[in-house]
Amino acid sequence: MDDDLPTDFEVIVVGTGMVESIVAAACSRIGKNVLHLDSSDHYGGLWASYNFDGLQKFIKEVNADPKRQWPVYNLSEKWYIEKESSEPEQNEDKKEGDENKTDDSKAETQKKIWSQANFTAEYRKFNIDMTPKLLFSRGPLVELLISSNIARYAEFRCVTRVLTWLNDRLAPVPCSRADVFATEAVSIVEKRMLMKMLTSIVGYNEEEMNNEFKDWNDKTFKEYLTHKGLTPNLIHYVLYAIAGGTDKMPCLEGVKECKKFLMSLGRYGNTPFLWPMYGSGELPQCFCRLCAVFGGVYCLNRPIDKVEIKTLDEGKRVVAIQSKSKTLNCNNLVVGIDECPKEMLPTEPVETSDISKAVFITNGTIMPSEKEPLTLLRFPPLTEEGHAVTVLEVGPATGSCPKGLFVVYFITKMVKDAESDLQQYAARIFDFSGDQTAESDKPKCLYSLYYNVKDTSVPVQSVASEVHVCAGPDVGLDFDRAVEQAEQVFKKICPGEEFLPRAPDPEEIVFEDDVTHGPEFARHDDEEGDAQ
Amino acid sequence: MSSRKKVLLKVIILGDSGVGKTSLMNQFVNKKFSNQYKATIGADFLTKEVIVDDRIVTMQIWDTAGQERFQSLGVAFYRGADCCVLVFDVTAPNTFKSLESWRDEFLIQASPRDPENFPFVILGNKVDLENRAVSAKRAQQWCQSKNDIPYYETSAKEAVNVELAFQTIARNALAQETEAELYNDFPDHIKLNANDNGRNKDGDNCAC
Repeated sequence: MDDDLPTDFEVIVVGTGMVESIVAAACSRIGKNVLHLDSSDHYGGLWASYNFDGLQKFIKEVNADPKRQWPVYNLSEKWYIEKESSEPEQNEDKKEGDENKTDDSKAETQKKIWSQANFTAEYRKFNIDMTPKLLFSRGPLVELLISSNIARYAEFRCVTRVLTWLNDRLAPVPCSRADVFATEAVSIVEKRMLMKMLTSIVGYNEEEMNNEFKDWNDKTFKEYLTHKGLTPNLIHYVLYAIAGGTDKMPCLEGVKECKKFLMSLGRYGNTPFLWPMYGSGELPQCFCRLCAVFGGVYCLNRPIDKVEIKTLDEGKRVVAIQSKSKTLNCNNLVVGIDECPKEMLPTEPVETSDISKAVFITNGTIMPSEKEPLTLLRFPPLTEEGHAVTVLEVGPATGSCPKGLFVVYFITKMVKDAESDLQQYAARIFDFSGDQTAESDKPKCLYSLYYNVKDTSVPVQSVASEVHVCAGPDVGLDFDRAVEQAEQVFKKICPGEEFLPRAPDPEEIVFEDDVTHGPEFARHDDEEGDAQ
Repeated sequence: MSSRKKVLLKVIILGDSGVGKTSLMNQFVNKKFSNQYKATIGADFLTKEVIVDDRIVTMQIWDTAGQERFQSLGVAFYRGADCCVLVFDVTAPNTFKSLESWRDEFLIQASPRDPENFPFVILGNKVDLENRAVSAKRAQQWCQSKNDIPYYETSAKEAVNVELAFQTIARNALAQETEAELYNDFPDHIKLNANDNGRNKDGDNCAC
């Protein structure tokens, strides 16, 4: 079956991470003949979402093979609940169909006691992201999804609130103008000050040097906010929650982050952010589908063994890829950093700081609200040497987990290791006792997974001009860097071509029969149908 | 459920490469058959409004876009399907044998709420051809053994039974959808589109 795989392509893409998938779609869209491979049996690479079973397999795979240089390390998994539920199965979990026919509001008054077995039974309802990220409502990815018409393959939900950690407790951050005016946490005088300051941030323009911020180049954002006369509470909101910064954040970086936040308000919901339904791992697949619709050939489970640059007689160079004892040829190879053979990478390693991450599964939200919340929480650093911590809490409405649970992601720059970096933050908002019956104002943590990821987001130049290495996920909140890098790779391969022009709607597609053309090319019967 | 609100059904078509999935879809929606599609643009999904028991239903029929060729359909393709159409080629026994694994694959990937009663429809396509190799009886037996899946013999080329088959698909998907609506606690999904692009609807664009 694999032997049917055609061998000659203009572009071969290896790895189905975000950057590779965007490049694949862009090349295919303008008519390049594309083959897209991945060594594993699922899409996304380091950007994938896993169901609970898939996550377990992934952990096992990484732990079983420490010699292989995984970009993921320090995995530490822990349960806080019993293997089997101790009391006899009473109502819900036995028959799913029946459960759903009962009125859910009744079932929910009595909190379910979860066991590990419940997780296993409902493993399909989990979609746990390895690289959870948000989209700014007016950010580059949203604009690209719309302009390319790839948005039709995806669905989103609005982040309903932004929280921060202020005076040792969770506090909602006023996002919109209405929020600011409604909040009692900010006085009228403060509101005026804040509005004035935000207005100048929105007016900030990088190119224009003679602006409000011209003298703030070498100062911190905190100094600027203090200079503007903002009270400590307001500084906290703006610096830690809106800009996601620390005390050391340079002023202009803070201004840029704030501007991005403010410019994305008011488009889809109460906050500037969107979350993809079923997790971030869906997005690479949307780009892959577009690539396939325009003729891209897909083959998962197809590792590559070796890459060589061959010079043909006329001096023309081709990239020859050995894969399962077959040679695949192309003019340009696009390869994810995690799939790239070492011989193609520069010998000097790039210096980066790695990323600390954690996934918690809890039995409730960190701050109850009327409707199911979707939360971005930004912690200021709690220690001298620590970094700001980003927390994303997603519930069943996002397709991330079964009813009654929440999945909570923690992300920060690594200082020591994931567990030491993040445990102290998690302890502030979760109850780790494992006792699901005891009263508590915090949600109970049922499961935790800490891990570190190599930061592979710095662009790497390969040793050959025909081989384009795609960066891995960065620590940032959004997909902006991935989109930017994908566009750069595309421009190198297809100079002068448009990057993902709008794909026609299905109704606009003209089939051969609609246009005048010469005599039909005789085809064998068994080939009719499925157009490739 | 009895509401008159617009119903959108997602129907996905599965089956081995070359059995005629794209042709069936195109015959049903565009009333056209082509031996050859424009090489640059493959099939994506097509939309058609049908009437089922006085209700207007929009069917969105999703093609595999060729990603099935090397078993590389991602889980995203299966999300939220209301009905699954499994197609085989009556002249190619292998494609009939594959039905079982396509069905299993669907149930695993889509993980429908009620797998026992999820609406499948089986289409034996290309009955216009002479060299038939899978008998109607054999196909019917298999369908019966799988909780009585409806079976139709079709020809996308000559428009045989295509309309009828898709009517059944719509009806069965709708029945499923009606039940699903009971549990639909999460509307509010957002589809991105250009309409509100940069538009500042409520004057709340930025907090200034």
